Order: sequence, then C-alpha cells, then structure tokens
Amino acid sequence: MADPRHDRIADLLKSRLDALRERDGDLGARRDRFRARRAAVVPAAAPPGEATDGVRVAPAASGAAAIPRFGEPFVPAPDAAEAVGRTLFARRAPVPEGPSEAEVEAMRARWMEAHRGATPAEAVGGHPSARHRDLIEVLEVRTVRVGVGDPFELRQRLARTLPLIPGVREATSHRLRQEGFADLEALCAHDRFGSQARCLCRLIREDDTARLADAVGNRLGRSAPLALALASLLDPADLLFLDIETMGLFGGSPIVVVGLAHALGGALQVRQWVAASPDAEAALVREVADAAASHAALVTFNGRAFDWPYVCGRAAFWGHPILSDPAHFDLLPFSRRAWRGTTTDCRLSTLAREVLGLHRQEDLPGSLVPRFYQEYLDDPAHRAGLLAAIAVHNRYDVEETVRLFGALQALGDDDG
Amino acid sequence: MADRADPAATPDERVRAAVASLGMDASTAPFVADVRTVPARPARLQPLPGAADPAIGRYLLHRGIPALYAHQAQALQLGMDGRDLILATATASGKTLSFGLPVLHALARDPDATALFLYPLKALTHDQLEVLLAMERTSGVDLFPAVYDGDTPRVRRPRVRQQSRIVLSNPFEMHETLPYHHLWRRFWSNLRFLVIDEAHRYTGVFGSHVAQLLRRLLRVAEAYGSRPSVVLASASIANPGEHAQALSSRPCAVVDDDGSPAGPRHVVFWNGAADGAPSPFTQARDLLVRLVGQGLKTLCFTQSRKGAELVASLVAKGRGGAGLKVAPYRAGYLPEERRRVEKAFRDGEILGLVSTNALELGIDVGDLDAVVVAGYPGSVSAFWQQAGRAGRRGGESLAIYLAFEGILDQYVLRTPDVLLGRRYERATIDLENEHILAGHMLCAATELPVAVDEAAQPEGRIARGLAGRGLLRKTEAGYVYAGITRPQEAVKLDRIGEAQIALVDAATNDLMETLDLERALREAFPGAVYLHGAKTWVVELLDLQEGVARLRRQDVDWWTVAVTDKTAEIVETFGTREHGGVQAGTGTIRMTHRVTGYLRKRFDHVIGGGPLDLPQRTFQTTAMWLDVPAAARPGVTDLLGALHALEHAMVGLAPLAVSCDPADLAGFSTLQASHSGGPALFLYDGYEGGIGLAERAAEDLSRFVGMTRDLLARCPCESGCPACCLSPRCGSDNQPMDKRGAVVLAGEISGLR
Repeated sequence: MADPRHDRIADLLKSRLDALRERDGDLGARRDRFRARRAAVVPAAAPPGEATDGVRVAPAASGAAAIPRFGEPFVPAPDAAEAVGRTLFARRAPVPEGPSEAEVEAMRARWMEAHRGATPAEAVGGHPSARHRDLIEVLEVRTVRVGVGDPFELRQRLARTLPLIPGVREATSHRLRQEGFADLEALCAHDRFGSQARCLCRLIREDDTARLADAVGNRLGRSAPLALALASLLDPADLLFLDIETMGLFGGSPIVVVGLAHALGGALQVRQWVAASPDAEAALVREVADAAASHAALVTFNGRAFDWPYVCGRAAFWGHPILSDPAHFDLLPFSRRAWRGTTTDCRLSTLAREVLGLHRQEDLPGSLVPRFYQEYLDDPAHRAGLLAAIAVHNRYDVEETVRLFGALQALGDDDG
Repeated sequence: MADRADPAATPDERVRAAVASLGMDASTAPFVADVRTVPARPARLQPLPGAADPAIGRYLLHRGIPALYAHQAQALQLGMDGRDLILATATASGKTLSFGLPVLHALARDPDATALFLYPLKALTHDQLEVLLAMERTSGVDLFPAVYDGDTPRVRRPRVRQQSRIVLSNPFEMHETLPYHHLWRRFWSNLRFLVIDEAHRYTGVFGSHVAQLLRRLLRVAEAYGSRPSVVLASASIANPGEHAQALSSRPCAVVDDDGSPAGPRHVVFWNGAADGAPSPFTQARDLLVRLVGQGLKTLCFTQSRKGAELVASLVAKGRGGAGLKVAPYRAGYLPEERRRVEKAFRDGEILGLVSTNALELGIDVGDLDAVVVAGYPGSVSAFWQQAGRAGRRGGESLAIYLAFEGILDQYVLRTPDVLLGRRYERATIDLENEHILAGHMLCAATELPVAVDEAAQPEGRIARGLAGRGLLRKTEAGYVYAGITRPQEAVKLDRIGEAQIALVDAATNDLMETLDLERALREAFPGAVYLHGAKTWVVELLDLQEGVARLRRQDVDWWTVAVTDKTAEIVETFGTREHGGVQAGTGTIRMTHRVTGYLRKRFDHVIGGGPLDLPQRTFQTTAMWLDVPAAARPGVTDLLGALHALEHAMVGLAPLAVSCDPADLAGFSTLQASHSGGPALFLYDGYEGGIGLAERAAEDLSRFVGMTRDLLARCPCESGCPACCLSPRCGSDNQPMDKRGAVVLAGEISGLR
C-alpha cells in the first residue's frame, strides 16, 4: 500500500502541525502557562522586568501601577510604535521549564516497567464499563470530608450584604445602614430599592443557588468569597468535582481521562473514566453528562474556561449535546484572591504543595499528557503504563481540587 | 443596490458632452483609438409574487421600489420554493436585493429561522450590515443582523451566537469557528439560508478550499437537522451553474436573465502609449481631472496600490487639480480610513476617487458617471466589474480603457472585441486535489466524526495516510482528529496570513498601514519612496525583528524600484521522464527571492540607486521542470523567448489542464538553470510546501503540452496575445517572447509536429 503521494501529503500536514506545536510549546506547558497567566501572581521580590512563570513583570515603576492587570498579557509600552510591533509579533511569554528529554525518557521507562504486561484496565486499576468495552471505570474511596459552611450563617451573611442590590455600593450601603436599613429584610420597605430587596430575599428563602451566584458574581465579582460560600446552601453530596485530561487544548481533540469526585457519607468517592481508545470518548462524555445532571453544582479549578466548555464541545461532537448549565464553582479566581503574592504561581499543584502541604509523588507533568497518550495509542498492548501515568495525574488533580475547596471554605468570610 | 430615482436628463448630457469632447479636442483626440457604445437595455419589471410575505411589501414600499426586476422576482420565487440558486447578473443589477428578499421572506415566516451570509472580504460585511439593518427597521421583522469575524470583540460574540438571525461573516472565520458549533446550537438548528456573495472570487486553489469548507459547514448544519437553501451571487463568469454546483455541492438554478435597466455605455479605448504621451499615470490623472471638471463623478481604477497612490498624488500637486477633491482608496489602509473615504465619495464630498480593485467588489459608493480603467485589469470579467461601476441609475455612462504600453494592454486596445465580445473567464474549482482534501479531512474530524468509505478513492487512502501518522484515529463512528494542535491553523484557505509589517510615521509613531513581509521587502526597504495618502514618504528603517518600518514624510520627485533576483534550486527529485528529447522532472524546489538593490528613478530615467542587504526569502514548493537541450532548432530564433512563451501558455491553460486558477501556478524560464547549467522551464505551485498542481501537470505532460501547442498554433495572433501567451502577471512585461519558437518546442515535446 506504498503510495508516495499520499504519504507526502500526510507528512507535509504533519510537519506543519509539528511546527505549530513547537511554536506554541508543548500543550500542557501552554495550558499551565495559560493558567499561570490567568492566575498571574507577582512575587514581592521579583526583579523588575524579569519574566516570572511566563508572566511579564512590569519594569520598575511606581508601586501598584506597575503590576499587570490580571488576566491580561502585560505590554510594557510607553512608545506607540513599540506597542504596534509587539501586538503584531505577539511575543509569547516564555514557556515554564519542562522536564528534559532524559527526564521524560526516565519517567516513561518507570511507568512502562511498573505496568509491564498489564492490560489498560489492570494498569489503571479499573474495569471495563457497561457503556463501552474500552471505557475503563476506576473507583476509589478516600477519607476526605467535603465540608460546606453553615447555611443559616450564610443566609444571614447574604442578607447583610446590601451591595447585592444593583445601584448600591459601599457609600450607599453605609448610608442605608445609618438610616436603619440593617439588612435586605429591612430594605424590602425602601422606596427605591424595595422591589430588588424583596426579589433577593425570595432567592435567599428559596436557596436558589444558581441565581444567587449570578447576583453575587455580577455585583461583587467572580472572586468574592461570598460567591464560594454559596456552596453552603447545598448538601455536600450535591457537589461534583471535575477535572479532565485531553489530547489538545483547542477543543477539537479527544478527552482521554475524566476524574469526578463527590461526597459519599463522610468520605469522598473518586470515580475516573479512562478512554482506552478514542472509541470510548463518546461513552466517557455521556458518563460526565449523566453525573453533572445528577448534581446541583460543579467544582473545578479553571473549569469555567477550560474543562466544562471542553466537555460540552466533545458532547456535541459525538452528537449527545449537554443542554443543562449547572451552577459552577471555579476555584481559580478565589485562590488567586486568597493567596495572591504568597505562592510561587497559581497552578493547582503549586497551591496544593505550598498552601496545603500536599506533595505529589511520581507525577506526570500535565504538558506530557498528549504525548504519552499518543504513544500509548500507537501500541496499547504494551504501553498501558503510560495510560496509568495520565490517570494518576488526573487523580491528583481531582483530589487536590477537593482539598483546595475545603481550604477556601475554611478561610471564611473576610469580605466585610 | 439599484436605485430607481428619476434618470435626470442633465447628467446624461454631461456624459455625452464628455465623450464628444474627448474625440474632438486636439489635446485628447490623438489618444482616442476607438469609441464604442454598448446600447441601452430597458428595465423589465415583474410584480411581487403573490405568496410573498407582507414584510417584503413593507420593505419595498419604504425603499420606494414599486416592482421588482425580472431576475429579482425570479430569485425570490425560487428562494420561496426552497431551490438553490446562483445569481449571475451584471454589476449594479440589485443583487443584494435579489438574495435579501428570499431570506426576508423565510425569516418573516419563521421567527426562529436564521441565515448565514459569507463574503470574501471583511470590508464588505460592514457595508452589507447597514443594508440589513435598514431592512430590519423598515420591514418590521427582527433580524438582529450582526457581523461575526476576526474583528468582533470577544465580549460581543456570545450575544451574536445566541441572538442574531442573520450573521455576516467570511470563510476564514467559519474555518476557525466550526469546531465550536455547540456554541451555535440555536443558529445551526434553524439555518434556512446560506448566502455566498461574490462567488466568482472563490476560484482556483482558494475556491477549492472554500468548496471543502462549505461541505464541512453544510455537514455541521445537517448534524443539527438543518438543510439550508444555498444562494450564490457572482459577477459575470463563463460557467455560473457549474461553478455554483462545484462550490456548494448542490445543483443550482442559474438566474442570469438581467431585468435591470442600463443606459447606453460609451467605451473609449485610449492609447496611453501613443507618440508623445506622458506617463500613463499622468494621463490617468489628466482624464480624472478632466472628467471631474466636467461635472462627472468619476472613479479611476489602477491595477496596483502604487498606481492608486501615484495618480492621487499627481492630482494633488498637478495643474488644474489643486482645487479638486480626489482621494486614494486601496487595501492596506485602516478600516476607519476606508469607511471615511467611502462615505465622502458616496455623499459627493469627493468627486473623484482613485482605487485599486479593492472597490471592484460590491462596496456601495453611490452613483457614478464615469470610470477610468487604467491598465488592463487581467481579465474580461474584472474589466466589466470595474466598468460596470458607472451608470448605476440606468443613465448614460462612460468607461475609458486606458491602455499602458505593455504588450497585453496594447493587444486589448487593438482588439476591442476582446472586451466587447464579453467572453468571460471560467471560475475553476478542483474537487479532487488531494492536498486540499486531506487538509479539510483533518479539520472536519475536529468538528464531527468523519465516516470514510475505505474503498472510495482517494478518500480511503488519504484517511489511511493521516491515520498512519497518528493525526486521525479510527472509531466506530468514523475518523476523529487526534493531533495536538489546531489543524485549522495548518490548513490555510488562502496565501495570506504571513507576517505583517507595520508602517509607522517616524514623527508621531502613528500606525499608517500594514504590509505583508514579501511586499514590505519589495516596497519598504530602507531608502524606498513609499506613497501613502497621496503623499511621498521615505523609509528610514525596516526592522524585521520588531515588524516595524519607520517612514518620514518628505517631498521627493523621484521614486524607487527594488532590483530582485530569483533562482530555482532542485531539492528533491520525485521522478523524471523523457518526452521527445526533453527531460521532464518533478520534485521539490527551493525558490529564492532576494532584493539585491534598488534604483532611484525620476520619470523613467535612472538617477541613482544602490545595493541593499536584506534577508532573502526562500520558498519551498513542488515543481515540474523541462530540461531543454540548447541545440539549434529550425524555427526557434530565441530559445529563452520560446521557453517563456511556452511557460505562459501552459500557465494560461492551467484551468483546463490542472483545474486551478492561472494565478495559483507560477513559471520560471532560464537559459542557465542551477541544476544543469542549461535551459530549463519550471512550473511550480504558488503555495509553500506545494499543493499538487505541478505534479498533476506532469502526470499527463504529452497531452498538456499538446494542448498548449494547439492553442499557440491555432491562435490567429501574430506574435502573442492574452488568449495564448501574454500574461497579466508577468514580471518582465512579457519579454522576451517567441511564440513560433514555442510552437516548435511544444511539438517536439508532445510528439506532435
């Protein structure tokens, strides 16, 4: 079946894609960088003008003004022409140092050796699911308690937060208090704000988490601790923790592993779905959709921008669109707000290590997930260890998301 | 949009007077080679089809349109019947209304229905948005028309996806956005119309890419249960029905029975190279100034950006032009600037405009009396698109064809029937190009699983080739993409998209415009005189690292041209074969273009220049080449001329021989090829990495060269014409050229003598 022309065409496309990949850096590094940039943390001691974790730091200038606005690439450009040049030739922030080729080789060898002769299901410690023979289900129960706050306290806290009313800011809130409107309940009788206050009081009475989340997010910002505290209105078992591993970043490549976790009694059940072949992805996505539909809210780290839209995209790809839009607690903005300036960067594994004291052992860097999965697919019978590496990495991510959620909850109300 | 205001008598008289005076004035008469008048065509009207939604009646009433032209009524009826169609009527025949009405009907009837309008250029969508907003206001139907393209701010995108019923976009944006179809669920689920305007632009390799893109798009729509009607609109081409079907994958009814009125159109053939003539750009300026002075609103088309700037600058400083309002218009200017000029011209604030073919497409600049086509625009279709800009009211109009001194220009001047006979060019689409099929197979596999019939060729083999490299993985539902980076980025629909250089005013640091790298090296090298805003600027610095060129405003009376050097080097040979004593090879070549220096010219005299040290541009692609022994042949007086003529004729026949546009394939002839030291002819793909055209040309070389021989031998011209071996894209003004020699060579190679 030697066909030089078709081979040439395929090689040409492959070389173009490889060139793009080289330009962008490895996928995971890009994803890490993406997360790091969104979570940009400027260490107090960073030398000015130096790049730190893929984020350009402002040149020495007057204090706060020099700190880049979060979520935006920083362009130090007093000079218009320079700015033009920069925008047109957008310099990508430096990729965080990944492991060297030798380290990758050693890692690959260790994982392969650890699971020599194992089937994919054996390697990841699971069993084929009912939905598809190539979809492996991995179940584990951990002694982690998913805790939420006291709902009564939260309701009182919400009721005291007058700025939830459109048009009320700090100054107005202060004035209203002096006029005797101590909480929303009292404000229901107010001429101007009464109807809005009555509406909010109803949402609080009905524990309408989704609409309260909208109100808090719109009025106080996505990172307001109160927005996360809304989880107190839910039963811990109603929270679904989610993290995915994919072959690409842009949404057009398969999801290979998904990790889900939820409270079960006083413990934590971690359920992973591992695609032993791309054929299993359709079933994998349906499992996620079913799980999401049976929980009131999702909890992720950067899932609002990445994991959840990716799952929705792949569900549509396979013709089983997800129509629900569950409440979503994305821990990234809260973490950024809570630990800004105190940790090296704002990646999940860094926070887990530096804030929670959790150290991963033999963890595959996220940037190597696509590469390991490609290699696994080229010879599934002999490389199941590579699949196990990805699954373990994912389990770390999910468990740390759960623990981070607990830590953030424990920080409590500091939003006055 | 056709406007049916009263055709005032006075403008007609002014046009007639202008034509008459051109032929009578001693200063102009010697240049007028011929004047022909295309007779008027009366309007043919039809009432609105009875079943049309009342919203259409309301809209037409507001516009003051009492009845439809025949082709508009026909398009509306076909659209209401759910038929796919292509409109192929003249410029200014009211095409926007023709495809707008069936869409309005459908969207008025079904409050959820949506429509997608695709344009080849972003500039067009903004113009059309205004028209659709007006349609929404006056028809009372909520259309929420919105532009969705690369310039649409991120925050505004979700609302367009969730709310708009008419989305205006372009193929490039759809190429990028298709994988995210789940965000467009409402839109795709209700898609009733796919409108493709300026369909003639989708020809050659670009057209073949768009054809595959449209298949992907319709596949996504189908996944959401939609089967939109396809409506295409095109300028005049030789094969509208065939083109529409190739592009859209649907058999389309052809609507070309133009019912719009056209006044008498006077076509003046002007010899810009007559004895004693000043430079053709000066003549273009004189004509523009003269016509504007006679009260005619005039648009002058030039065939290059530089030409547009030059003519406008000559108007600004020349005699008699000082008080006139004339502006240049071309690609490269910032969008706000272009829109400002469009509006000023439309409102009559500016009476004369100099433009490149950027205005050839349907951007509304209002009514015009006269058009000057300065230089042959490369095709009969393009000429009529430009000339058709004049006389929008059905009144009399004037088109002047200003022939430059080039051989091709002069041939068209001597043979007016080339233009008047309206033998339009064909639009070519290749549905079998395996490079293009493979690229789109990857893209499609990011959108939905791709079911491939393994036995069907070439799809089966392409899919296996891609799967063999891990780019596709096979599943029960079909192939899925399994690469890491976006294939949409690796598969370019067009050649554009390479690095851009920002031209910056050194005094103010303001961004003036952007140029692609290739053009910047040729036109914005250090010391180059650059024309912008009809003024001269001198390039101080070109910084390729930063992507910036700094220009300083300076009045100079010279201009500069880059001296370039072009070489072809064979990198890999796929195979060779002998044809009548000539070795034909295929393989990968590296083309090297280098700007080695520049000349400073005042008028046509070289007054200086110097060497330049600029990085060379190399370009790897696939090619076929002919190694022609340098032996003397009876009938071949000039071997390089013969090779050159053969090269041009082969490129010209490319649409028939390899199903591409002539512009997709490039040629290069030399007496000293680097691989052999002897004469050689190269045909190569004008696409980085190659796209299979030259290889295909080599496959059946005897037949291809035989066809070329027949074309050359049977062409009645003496020493070459645009129908055989004169090319509008030639970099050396079609010199040297030995048509008879080419016939001999071709006979030798093809075995036909």
